[in-house]
Amino acid sequence: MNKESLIRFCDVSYRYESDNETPLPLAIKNINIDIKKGEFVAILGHNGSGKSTIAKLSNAIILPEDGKVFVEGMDTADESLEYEIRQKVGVVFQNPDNQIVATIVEEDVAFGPENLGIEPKEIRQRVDDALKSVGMYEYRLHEPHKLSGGQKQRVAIAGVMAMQTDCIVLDEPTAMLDPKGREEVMNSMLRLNKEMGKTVVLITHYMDEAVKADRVIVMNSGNVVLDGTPREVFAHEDIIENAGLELPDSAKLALKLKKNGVNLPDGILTPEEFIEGFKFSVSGGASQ
Amino acid sequence: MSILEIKNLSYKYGVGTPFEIDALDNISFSVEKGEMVAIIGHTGSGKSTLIQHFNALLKASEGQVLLEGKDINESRESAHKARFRVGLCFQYPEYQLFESTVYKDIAFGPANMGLDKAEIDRRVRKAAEFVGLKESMLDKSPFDLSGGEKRRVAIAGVMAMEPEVLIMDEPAAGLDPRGRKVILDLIKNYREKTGSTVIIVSHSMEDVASVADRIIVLNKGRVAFNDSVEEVFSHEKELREMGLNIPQITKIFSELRSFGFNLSGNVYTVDDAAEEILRYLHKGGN
Repeated sequence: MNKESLIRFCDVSYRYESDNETPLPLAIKNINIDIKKGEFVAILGHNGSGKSTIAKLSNAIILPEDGKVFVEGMDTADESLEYEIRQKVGVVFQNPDNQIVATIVEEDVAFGPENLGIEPKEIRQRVDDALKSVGMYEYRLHEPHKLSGGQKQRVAIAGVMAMQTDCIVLDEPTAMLDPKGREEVMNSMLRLNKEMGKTVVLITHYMDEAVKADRVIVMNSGNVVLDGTPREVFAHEDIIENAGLELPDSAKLALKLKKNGVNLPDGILTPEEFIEGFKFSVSGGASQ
Repeated sequence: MSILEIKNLSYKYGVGTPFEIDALDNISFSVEKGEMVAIIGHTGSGKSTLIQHFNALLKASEGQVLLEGKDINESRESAHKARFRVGLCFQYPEYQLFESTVYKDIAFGPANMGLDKAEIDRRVRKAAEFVGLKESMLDKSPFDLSGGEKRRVAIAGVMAMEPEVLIMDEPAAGLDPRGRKVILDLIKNYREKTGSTVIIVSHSMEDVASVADRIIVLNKGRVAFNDSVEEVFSHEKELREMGLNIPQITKIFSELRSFGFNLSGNVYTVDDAAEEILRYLHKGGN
């Protein structure tokens, strides 16, 4: 895999503005993260841990108080590069109703490329491709407000795709969705990453979504406390719990059984792994 | 007698326009005093429309909402009273905070009920204690609090009206796992201590399984199931077709059973699951 850096946070700190004299504490503190091209990275953390701040810093919506953020080597603090940076990294937010601007799906998806001043013919092509990539092409002439939450969120993702960004950052895109909507959005993100080679940064509270990423970063009170593969990260139960998070249910169950003397393999994270491990351990006559 | 009874309720949006749509279609069910009922359904299934009928925020196109046997829409007065007897806590209620202090925000509901100062004070302090807000926080601006704390202030504001029926629309949405647990525990605690009836609307099958006695499933504006947690979650296929699911742990168990492990089907949480597996292994795998 190409290991070129796409978004790099170098000693970044950020503080939100206070509405009185006492300054607010730092939202993120001296953070170093290097997101590589083609990666699927999940960022976990409690409410207020600084996750969304990272999303906003990644395409110059806000700028660091200290340190630097680079997108393909471009400093986000350099105003002259702002347009170019936003064409590399797009952000999708939590509430689909707040990010849809047009009354027809395909017009909404066209909004981004239109603002970039792209040729109409090229826009048509991009909109069709983007809608196909999230499985919403048949809905191109529908009214967005009549779609389900999962469908609206996929339209929002298509809007970013149509700008042909290399990287898409999603800030809790599934928080307001029902189980089917969550599954649809998760599958779209995986497809963009695995089949189209897009870099995906997924900020989430759902552990079962993080398990599907290549890499998991855990934030706690503005600091990065863990950064590794899901298996490496979820092996640190204590740090995860200290960060206000929890292990995925399958991992919790496996750990609980192991503590009670049941012989299961290490590192179980998903239902499939639990079932395999359990079958092997029980049918294989392993000790109890 | 049921505390809340919904009788043949239908609701149409856009009546008389070409966009007329049946949001709710002939809904009937009842809720007993002290019960904890969950309402689940895909986005757009009519959950939020339905609960707004329970305290007369919406008036049914057809059918009735009975509170202790009496139609809440009988008169203006009964509809007004229903607002206090049935407390409705909306999704993301923290966006509705507006007062200058936490105390005033929690006091807003009881003050509107026309209670005297001493009673309002008692209720504010009690509700704040229920949701785990310290005394020292009452004088703070709600806007200086964290997201989880703001949510608890908003919930306290509804609890302070001491409604007979408390309805919570997605109370844990958008919170981290610890925040979710805090909110769910406080709802369980509130119901145990006050004996109130609680209706919770949720998209999380895990949360529903951990708190509810009974589940009502809405699908396209109709009641698809109205049954025990056990019965409802035994319909995985139908639930999936409705855009829902069963808890992850329950899915693991149904799969293990299909491989011939003689495990109970009635398992929804990690704790239940661990107990059941240990029981199974202890008996030598039978």
